Amino acid sequence: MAEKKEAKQERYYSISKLNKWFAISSMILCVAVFGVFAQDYLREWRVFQREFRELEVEKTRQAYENAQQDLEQNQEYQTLIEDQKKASLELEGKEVLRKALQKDIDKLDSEYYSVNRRHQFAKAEYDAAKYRYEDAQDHEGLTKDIRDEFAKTQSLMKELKISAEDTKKLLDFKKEELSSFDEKINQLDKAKEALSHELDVINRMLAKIDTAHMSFGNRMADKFRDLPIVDFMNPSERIEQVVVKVDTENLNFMRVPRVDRCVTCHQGVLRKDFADADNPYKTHPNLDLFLSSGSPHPLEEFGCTSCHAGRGRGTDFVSAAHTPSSPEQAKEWEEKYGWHEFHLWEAPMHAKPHVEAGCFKCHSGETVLRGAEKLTFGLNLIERSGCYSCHTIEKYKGDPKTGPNLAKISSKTSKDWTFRWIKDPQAFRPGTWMPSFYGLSNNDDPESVQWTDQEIHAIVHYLYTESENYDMKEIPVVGHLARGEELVSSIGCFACHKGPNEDDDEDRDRQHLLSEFGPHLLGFGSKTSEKWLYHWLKDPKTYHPDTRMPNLRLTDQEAADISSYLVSLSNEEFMESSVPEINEDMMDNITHELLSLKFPAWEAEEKLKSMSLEDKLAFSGETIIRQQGCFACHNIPGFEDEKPIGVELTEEGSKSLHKFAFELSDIEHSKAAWFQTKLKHPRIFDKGKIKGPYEKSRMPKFQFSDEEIDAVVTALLGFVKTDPNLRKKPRTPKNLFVEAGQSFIRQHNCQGCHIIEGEGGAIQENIQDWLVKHQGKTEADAEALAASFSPPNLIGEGKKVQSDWLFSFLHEPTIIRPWLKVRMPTYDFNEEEINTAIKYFNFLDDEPFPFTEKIKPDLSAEEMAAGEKMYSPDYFDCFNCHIRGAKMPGGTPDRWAPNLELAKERLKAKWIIDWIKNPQKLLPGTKMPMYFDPEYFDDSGPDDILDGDEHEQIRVLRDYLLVLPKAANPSSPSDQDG
Amino acid sequence: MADPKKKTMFQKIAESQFLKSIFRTGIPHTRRQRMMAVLNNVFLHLHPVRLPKHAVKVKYTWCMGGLSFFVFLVLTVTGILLMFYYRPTVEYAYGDIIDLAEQVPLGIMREIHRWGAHLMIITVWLHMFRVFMTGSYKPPREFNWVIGVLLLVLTMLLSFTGYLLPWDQLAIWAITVGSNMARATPFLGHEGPGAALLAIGDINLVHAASDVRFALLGGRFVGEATLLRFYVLHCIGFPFIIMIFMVVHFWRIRKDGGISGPT
Amino acid sequence: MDAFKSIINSLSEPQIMFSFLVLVFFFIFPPSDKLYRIHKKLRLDLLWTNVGGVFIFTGLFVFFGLGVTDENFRLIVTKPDNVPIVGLLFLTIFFLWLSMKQGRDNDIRLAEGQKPNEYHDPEDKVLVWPDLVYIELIAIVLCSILLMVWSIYLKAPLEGPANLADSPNPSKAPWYFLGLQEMLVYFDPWLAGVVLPSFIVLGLMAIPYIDSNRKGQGYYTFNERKTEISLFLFGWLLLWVFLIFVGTFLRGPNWNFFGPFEEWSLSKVVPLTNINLSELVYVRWLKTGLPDNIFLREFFGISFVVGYYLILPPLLARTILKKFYSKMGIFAFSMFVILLLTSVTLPIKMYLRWTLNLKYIVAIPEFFFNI
Repeated sequence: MAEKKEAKQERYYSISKLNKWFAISSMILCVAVFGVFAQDYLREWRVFQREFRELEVEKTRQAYENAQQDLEQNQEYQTLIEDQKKASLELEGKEVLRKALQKDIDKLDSEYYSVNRRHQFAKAEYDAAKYRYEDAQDHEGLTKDIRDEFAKTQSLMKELKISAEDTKKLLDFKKEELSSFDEKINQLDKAKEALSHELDVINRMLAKIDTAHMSFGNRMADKFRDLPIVDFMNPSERIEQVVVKVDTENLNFMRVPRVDRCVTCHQGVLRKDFADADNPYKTHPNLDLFLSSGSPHPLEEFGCTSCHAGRGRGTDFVSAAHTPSSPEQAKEWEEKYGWHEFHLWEAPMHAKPHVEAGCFKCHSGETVLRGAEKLTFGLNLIERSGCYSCHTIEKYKGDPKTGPNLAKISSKTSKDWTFRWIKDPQAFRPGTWMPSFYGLSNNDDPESVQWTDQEIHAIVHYLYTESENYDMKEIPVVGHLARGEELVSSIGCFACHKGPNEDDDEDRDRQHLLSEFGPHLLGFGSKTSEKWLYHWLKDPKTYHPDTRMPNLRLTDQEAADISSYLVSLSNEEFMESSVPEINEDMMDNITHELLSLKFPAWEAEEKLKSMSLEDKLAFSGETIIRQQGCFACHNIPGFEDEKPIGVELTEEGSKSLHKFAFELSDIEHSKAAWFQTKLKHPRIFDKGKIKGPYEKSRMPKFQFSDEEIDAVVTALLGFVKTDPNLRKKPRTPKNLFVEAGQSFIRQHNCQGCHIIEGEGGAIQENIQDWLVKHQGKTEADAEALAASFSPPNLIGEGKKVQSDWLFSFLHEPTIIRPWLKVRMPTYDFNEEEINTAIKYFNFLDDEPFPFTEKIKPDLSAEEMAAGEKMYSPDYFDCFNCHIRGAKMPGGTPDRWAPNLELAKERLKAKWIIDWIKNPQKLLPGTKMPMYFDPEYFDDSGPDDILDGDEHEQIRVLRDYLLVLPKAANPSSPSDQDG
Repeated sequence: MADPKKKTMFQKIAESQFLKSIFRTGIPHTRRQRMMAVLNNVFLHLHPVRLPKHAVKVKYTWCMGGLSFFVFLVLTVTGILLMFYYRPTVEYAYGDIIDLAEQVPLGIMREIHRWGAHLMIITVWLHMFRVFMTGSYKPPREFNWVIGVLLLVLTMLLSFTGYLLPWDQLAIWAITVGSNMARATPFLGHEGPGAALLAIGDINLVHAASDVRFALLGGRFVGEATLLRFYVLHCIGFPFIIMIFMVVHFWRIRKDGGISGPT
Repeated sequence: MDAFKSIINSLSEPQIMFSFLVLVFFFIFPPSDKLYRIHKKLRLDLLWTNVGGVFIFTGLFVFFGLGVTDENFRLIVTKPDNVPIVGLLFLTIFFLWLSMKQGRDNDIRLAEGQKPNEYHDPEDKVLVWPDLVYIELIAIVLCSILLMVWSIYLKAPLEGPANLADSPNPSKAPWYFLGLQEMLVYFDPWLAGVVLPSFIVLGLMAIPYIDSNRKGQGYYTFNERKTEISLFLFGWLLLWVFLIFVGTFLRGPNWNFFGPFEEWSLSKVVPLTNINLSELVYVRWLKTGLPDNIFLREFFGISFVVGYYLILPPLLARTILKKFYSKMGIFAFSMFVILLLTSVTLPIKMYLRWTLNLKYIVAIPEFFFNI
C-alpha cells in the first residue's frame, strides 16, 4: 500500500487518461498504416489488369465453347469417339488373356531385376580381379590364386550376363504382346488429340486464368500471390514494361533510357482476339506493320512512346500524359479517369488525329510515307506552300523558292495589277498559293487599310524601279486562239496547272496537289501580255533561270497559239477594283516610322526632310519588303543574301509549351491547338494588344482547309529534336537513293504525268476531257482510252530500261510513242540530277547498278527464221501494233505501241523476256496481249516452231528483237501517215 | 478474480528467462522497477530517472525537441530505403524518382521523406522558439543554445542538399537560385566584393572556376558533379555531422541540469 | 466580394502591410515600459487569453476559409510545397499565442507575488517512466499519423526534368530560404545571401551572451523580458517568417508582387527605375554629373555607412540605450548594437526603396561592392 501511495505522488498524468490517448492514437495509426498500403493496392493499373483478366477469361471461355461446339459438329471426331468405344469393348472381351499376360510380365520383371543385379555385382568383382591381375603382372608377378580368381569371376560375370539378357528379351516380347492389345485404342487417342488440340490449349489456358477451372492449390495460390507484402515474389498483377532500344528520351540535353509501361494497362495490344475490345485493352491496329515480333516495328524494340510520345513511365491515366482527340473526349476522360493535362511533361502523347507525327523522326528522309497519309499530305503542303522559305526546316534545306522571280517583273505585268494582287491575291486567283498579307484581323480596320495601301504602293514602286529589262522581240506569227486552246489541253500543261474551267472549291488531296504545281491558268489577259507569254513559253529559262517550268519545245506557231489563247482569259472584275492614289502625308508617316526604327529621332527627321517622294517610296518599299520577308519566296533584286524572317521549325515539335505565346487567346493550351489557330487565323495572337505598325505579327494567311491544317499540324508536331543515335529507317544505299529520287521526282512534279510507285498521273483526267472535247470520243470511250494517250506508267522502269538510254533520254527526250500529243518536256537537268533519277529507278527495282550484263545475241539461221516467223502476221503479228522505225502500224493511234527498233538500245534484255512471258504482271492493264498463258505455259506457244519449246521461243523472240535490222524492212517515208 | 498466485499467460511470458535477459526489470510495477527501467535502457537512459513536474507538461515543452529527433529518425529510415532505388546520376535520377511514384511498392516513402523534411524544419524552429520564450538559453545553457543554432543550420542544409536530388525543374532552379548567392561571397566568390583584390600580378585567384560556388557545385553550373556532391553531403556528410552535434546537444541537456525550470 | 478582395490585394502590398505590422508590432510586443503601459491601456494583452485566442483563430480561419474560394488564392495555398508554409503560419501563431498566454498568466501571478505556474516543489518530482516516456510515445504516434496522412493526401511534387536552359518564372529557392531571396530585392547577393545570413546565425548564437537579464528562466513571461522578447520576435516574425510568406505567396513571375487574390500574370509589368544614392545626391540634388573618381562619387554613401556603424553606437549608448550599456559592458553592448543596427538595415533599405526608389547607398559595381 505504501508503495502505491508513493508512486501516485510521483505521477503527473493520470495513467488511465494516457491509456485512452494512447489507445485512440494507436487505432488511428493503424488506420493510417492501412491507408498507406491501400494506396498501393488501389492503383488504377491494378483495376485495369483485373478487368482485363475478366475479359480474357470471358473470351477464353467463349473460345472454349466455340471449339467444343466445332468438335461436336466434327464428323471425323465423332466417328473417332465411336471407334474408340468399340475398341474398348473389344478389349474388355480379352480381359482374361490380358490379365494372364500381365501376371507373366510382373514375374519376369522381378526375375530380370534379380538377375541383372547379380550381374552387376559379378561385374564389379570381375573388374576388381582384373585390376589385381594387371597389377600383379606389372609388379610382383602373377600367382595361381590371382589367375584362378580372375578366371572364375570372368566366367561368372559372362554367365550372368547371358542370363540377364535372355530374361530381358522375354520380358520385352511379353510387353509388346500386351501393348498390341492397346495399340488400336492408342492410335485412336492420338487421332483424337490431333483434332482436339486447339481445345486442349484453350483448356490449359483456362486452367491458368479462370478460377473456376483451377485446381484447389492453384486457386489458393492465385489469391495469395497478389496479397500485400508477399506480392514481391510472383504476383499476377504487375507492372509490365519495355525498355526501348531504338530511341532514348530527350530530357534536356540528356538522353535517358525510355521505359514504357503502357502495356501494363494496354494488355491486349498484341492479342488479335481483342480487336473489338474497348480501350485500354484493344488490339493495336495493323499488327503486320507494328508491334508484332516479325514486323518492322516490334514492341520489344520500339516500345510505345518512341512513336506515340507521352510519359512511358507513367502508370496511371493522367501521369502517362494521354492527349484527347477532341474537347468531347477530354470531357469524357475527365469524368471517367479524372483526366487533366499533365503539363509537366514536355512530350505529351500525340492525339489520335495527329498520331502519324510520330513517324517523322525516323522517316524524315522520305518524301512519301506510305501508311502515313496525313503526315505525307502535311509534308507535301509544307513543300508546296513554301513554309520552309521563311521558316528554316532541315528537311527542305536547299529547296528552291516557291514564288516567281520578280527580277524582271516590269516586263510581265503592270503596277496596277501588282498592287491589286498584293492587296488581295485571292481576288485574282482563288486558291492561289500566294498567301494574303493584308486585310487580316490585325490590319483590316480602316485606319490600317489606309496605311497598308500606301505600304503596298511603296513595295510596288521598289519592285518596278529595281526591275531589270527583259528583251522581247515581236511574235513572228499570228496565233490562233482555238488551236491554242486545244494545245493547252493536249500537250500536257494540265499536268502541273489547273485549267481555267476547273473550280477551286474541291477538297484538295495529295493527287490534286500534283496538278497545282504551277499556277492556275486564269486571267492572263488582265495580268500580262501576249508577247511576254510567247517568250515565256518558248523558253522559260530566259526569264527566270531557275524556274521549274520546263521547255516543251514548242514551235513558234504553237507558242503563239497558246499565248493568244491564254491572253483571251481575263478577270475584269479584279481589274475594276480601285487602286487608291499615293498619299504623300501618309507616305511621310510611313517613312518616318520606318526611319525611326533605324535612326535616332533627330536623324530620322532630318533624313525625312531630305527625301523626295520617290526616295520615300523606294526607301519604304525596300524596308517593308525586308520586314515582311517577301524575298523568302521571290527573287527580288537587292535581297539576294537576306536571311529568312521566320522562326526555325526543324525542332518545333519539341519546343516547350510555355514558349508558345498564347497571349490573350482562350484556346486550349496545347501545341496542336496553337498551330491550328496560327494557321487558321495567323494574326489572332495580336488580338487585344497595342502594337505599332511594325510590331504586329507578320505570318500571312494561306488558304488551307481544316483538313489541310490538320495535316500540316501533324507534320509540325513531328518535327522533333531527335537523338543522334536514333535508329532511323536503315540508311542502306537503296533507301538513300530512293529517298533522293523521290524528292527529285517531287521537285519536278514527274507524277503530274507519270504514275510512279503507284501514284500520280494527275494528267489522265484532263486527257479524258481532251478526248471528249477535241477528239469527239464519248465519255465511256475516253475513259477507256485515257491511259493509252497518257504518258507511260513508270512502274518497273528500273528493270525495264537501260541506264545509258535513260541518261540520254532524260538529257534530251526522244519520241517513243509518236501517237501521244503529250510531250516529255526538256528540263535541262544536270548530270547529277539525271543520275539521281537513274539510281532511283534502278534501286527501287533492286536492279544491279551501274553495270548490267549486255546480251550479244547469236542467232542461228534456223532461229533467225523462227524469229521472223513469229513476228509475222501469221503468228504474233507484232508490227500490227508496234511501230517499227519510221513505219507506223495500221489502224487508229490508240492501238499503237512503242517503236520496236528502239528496243535494243532502250530495253534490258532480261526484262524483254519477262515482258513477253507475262506483260500483265509487269504492267497491269497493258494492251500487250499475253501470248504465253502462264497457267498453261507449256502448251501456250505455237507447236510448230522450235519444237514447241516455249522458253526457246521467247528467247528467240527477244534475240530477234535485239538484232532487228533496220535494213531488214526497208521502210519508205510514204509508209508514214497520220 | 481468479487465484492471484496463479500467473496469467501474459505474466509467464513477461517473466520468462528470455525476456528477462533483455528487459532486466520486467514489467515495472514498483517505483524501483520504474527507475531501473529507465536506467537499464540505453535509449531511455537519455532521460534522468526523475523529473521536475513541469518538465512533463506538454503545455510547457511542446514536445518539439523530441519530435525533431523523432522526425530525424524517420528521415533516416525512409532515406535509407530511398537509397535502394535512387541513383545519383543525371541520367537516372529523374527517372528513378518517377519510378518511386509510379511503380515502386510503398513509394510513398518519398512523400514521407519530403514532408518529413519540411516538418523537421518547422519543429526545429518551434523548438528554438520555445527555448527562447522560456529563457532556457540563459546560463548555464548558453553553449547548448549555440549547438542548437548549429543544428538548425545543419537541418536546413540537409534539406537544401536533398532538394536537388529529384533533378527536376523545381530542384535545379531552387539550387541554382540558392547557390547563385555564393558567387557573391566577399573575397571567395568571383562576383563578390574583394574577389578582385585576391590577385597576384595579373592573375586572378578567384574566378568562376575557382570560387566558393564552384567548390559547392563542382562546376560552373548545377550539373552532374553537383548532383553527386549534394547526394554525398545529404546522405553521409551532413547526417554524420548533425549526429555528432545531436549527441553533444543531448548530453549537454543532462549535464546542464536537465530541462530548464523556474527556481 | 471582388471589391473586398481588391482591398486586401492592395493592403498586402509590402509597403503598406510591412509598415502596418511594424507599427502594430511594438504595441503588441512593447519593448519598453512606456509602450508596455500603452499596451496595457489598450488592453492588447487580452489577445493572450482564451477569448483572444478564439478571436485570432476565428479571424485566421475565416480569412483562409473565404480565401480558398478564390481560384488564385487556392492555387497558391494548395500547391503541395506551400502547404507546410500554411501549416507554419497556423503553428507559429498558435504557439506564439500559447507562449504569450502562459507568459501573461505568469506575469499576473508574479505581480501578485506568487511563483510562476511552472513552479513545483523541487522535491516533488515525477518518474520518467511512465509519465514522460508515455507522452513521448503518444507524441510519436501522433506525429507518425500526421506524416502518413499528409503523405497519402499530398503527393510530393515532381516537375519537369531539370533544364538549365529553361528557367521557370519565378524561380524560387526552397521555402525556408525565401526570406533571403526576398532580401535580394533590397540587397546585393553578397549581403542578402552571405553577410546577412551569417549575421543571423552569429546573432542567434550570441543571444545568450548578450542577454544579461537573469530573470525569466525556465518559465513563460513577457513582462520580465520585454526587450529581449520584443526584439527577438521582431527579427523572427517580421524579418524572417513574414518575408517567407511574402516570398512564397505574394511573389510571382519576374519576382513581381501579387496580392493574395491576384492572378499571377506573366505579363505584369511594374516600373522599376531605381537610382543610387550618388545619383540622387549629385544629379537630383546638386544637379551636376557624377564625378569620375569612385571615392568621390560614393563619398556620401560611404560616409553614411561608416557613420551608421561608427557614430550611431556610441550615440545610442549615451542616449536611448544608456541602460543597456551600463548593464552589459562595452563588449556585449557593441555586439548587441551592431547586430541590432544590421537587422534594422533591412527595413531601412526597404523604406528607402519605397520612398526614394533608392537602389544602392554605396554603388561600386567595379568591385561588386554595392550596399
